Amino acid sequence: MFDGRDPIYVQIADQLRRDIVAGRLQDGDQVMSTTQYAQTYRINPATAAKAFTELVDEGVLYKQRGIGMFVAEGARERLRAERRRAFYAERLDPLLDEARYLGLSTDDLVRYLTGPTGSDSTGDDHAINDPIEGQS
Amino acid sequence: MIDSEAHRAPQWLRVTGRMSRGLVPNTLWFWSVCLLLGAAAIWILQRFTDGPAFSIMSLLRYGLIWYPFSAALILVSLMLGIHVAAGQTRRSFLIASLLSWAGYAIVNGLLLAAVIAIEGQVYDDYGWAHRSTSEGVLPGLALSLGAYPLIVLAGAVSGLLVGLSYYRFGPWITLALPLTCAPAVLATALVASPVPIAGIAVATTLAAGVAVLLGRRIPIRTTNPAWT
Amino acid sequence: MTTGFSVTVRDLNVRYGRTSAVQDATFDLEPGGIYGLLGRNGSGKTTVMSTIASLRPASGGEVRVDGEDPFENERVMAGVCLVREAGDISPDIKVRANLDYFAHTWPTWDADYADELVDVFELDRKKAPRHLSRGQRSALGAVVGLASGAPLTMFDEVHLGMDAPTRYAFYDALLADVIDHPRTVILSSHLISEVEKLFDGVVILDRGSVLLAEEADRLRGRGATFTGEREAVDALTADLTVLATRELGRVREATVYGEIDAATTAKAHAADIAIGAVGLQDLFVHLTRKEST
Repeated sequence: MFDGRDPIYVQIADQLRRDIVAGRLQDGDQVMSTTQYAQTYRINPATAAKAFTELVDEGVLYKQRGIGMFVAEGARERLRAERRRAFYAERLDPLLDEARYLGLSTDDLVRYLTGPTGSDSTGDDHAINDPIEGQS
Repeated sequence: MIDSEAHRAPQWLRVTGRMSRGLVPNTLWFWSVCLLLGAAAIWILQRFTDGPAFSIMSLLRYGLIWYPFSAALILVSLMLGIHVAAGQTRRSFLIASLLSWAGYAIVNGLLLAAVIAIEGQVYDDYGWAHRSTSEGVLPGLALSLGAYPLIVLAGAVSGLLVGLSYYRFGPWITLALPLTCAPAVLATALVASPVPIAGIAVATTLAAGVAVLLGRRIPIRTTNPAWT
Repeated sequence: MTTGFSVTVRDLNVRYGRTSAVQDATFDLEPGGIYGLLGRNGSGKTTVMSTIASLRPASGGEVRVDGEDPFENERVMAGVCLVREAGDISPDIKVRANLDYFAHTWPTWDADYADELVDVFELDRKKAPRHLSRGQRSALGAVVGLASGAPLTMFDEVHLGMDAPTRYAFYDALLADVIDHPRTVILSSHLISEVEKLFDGVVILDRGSVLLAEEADRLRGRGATFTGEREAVDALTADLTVLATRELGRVREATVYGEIDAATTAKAHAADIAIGAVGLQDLFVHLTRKEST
């Protein structure tokens, strides 16, 4: 867990964002406290707190004093919109580069995508790899 | 952080209290055994001989020099490291050691003086000569009130110094034993020949001073000698 | 409410007679963090911690704990607990009596917590430490360190002899305690991969000198592996500090150390070179290897 090259707090925040986008955490759900998070994954509490602070600042989570932290209303939609915007530049373009490199034509790709094996799922868990290096 | 009542007293005072309390059971045990054995010895001698040729109780002087000597020595090797590792200063250890051994010396020295004085009364009643050995003369009561606490202290301070020097320098400091043991040796000699009390006092003071100098910045060993 | 003691070490030198154990060590630790003090055997970890804990005087340079020289400083010493591998406990008196002693010595001692921890680590209160196993003795040390509540608590190789479940129980207890009672913690360990994610910062000692003192996240970011075609990897890493290389057939994996900028990342990408993470443990091994400079 959290063995990537990014700072651990970035990886934690990413993990939570993915959980929200994938629907594992719904709008209004309570998320683990910093303490629980630190203890569950045996990580530095300050690191965990930093990740949560970032998400609160982004409006993905909100804090209710004395109760805990919750997924903000509309967080999933917003994250999904962001992710979708980033999808083409971060994911698809490198793939298309790779396809061009391998000599696959647009027709080949269209045929694949519309064929029986074509994927239409959105919450793909394989996105766990680093977005930049994920295709290697 | 919340300080309990006990933590508000200065550290040296708290440690002195703890050390002194540690010496109480020993004192009680020592005197109950010695008084019993001493009285038994005197009773046997008066029963089966012409009576004791010298003061039995004054033999306790040896015990009251060399017991504190070894106890102080062991205390240093067992407790110094633990004391400092538990967040307390060498200073408080040294002050507490000197004060609690001084307390021990006063109590036990005065008890010894009293016991010998009482024994003298008993000897007088029986018409026996109350001497330190068949030849030596016992100090008078006034002198013994000062001399006996002093010799007990001399033993303890010697032990403290020997303990600290071993802790600091290791086995080869054995060479310095004639110096580090000087107060205890002088105190022991007082029994046989009249070593001037001032000499013991000076040697003890010097030894205490050297012990403080040696202990003030003493590095704490990685391994507590108690484990070996 | 304290958040822990800060530690400042400046040009620290410690000598044992004529041998130098620590040379010109300099680093800073912020109050309230968990720090890893890493180094091979004999690198001076214990000596540095002993000096911070006032167990031995510095031969040169200075140490400041909570802003003051700790040596023979009653206030500071009462707030610095070093749990040494050897265990500063009485071997022949019962566990319970040992803990009672510490209740008198540490102003911040939490007796109830100590009691709880004794159960967590399944220690026999009636046994003398001499008759405990190595791991149990280490666990007793862990109990003392945790229950001391000291604003600076240092654990020197406290994991020795502990089995994995006990070690994890210790990490869990440490985290829980640090969250409840913020304090500065220094941990020295050889099991870096187990503890690296606990650290705010890391100080690596090598042969008595500070090799580096860095935020853990930044340090992790500085290590990377480049895996790809041999020539391409060599070209890319020509200007980087290469710690180690490994051949996997035609493929070369180079472990590098240093800031890896966006340009390098882009070049790697273009040359079909994969960039991977290097764990602290690997980084440590590479950085402290004998022949490394």
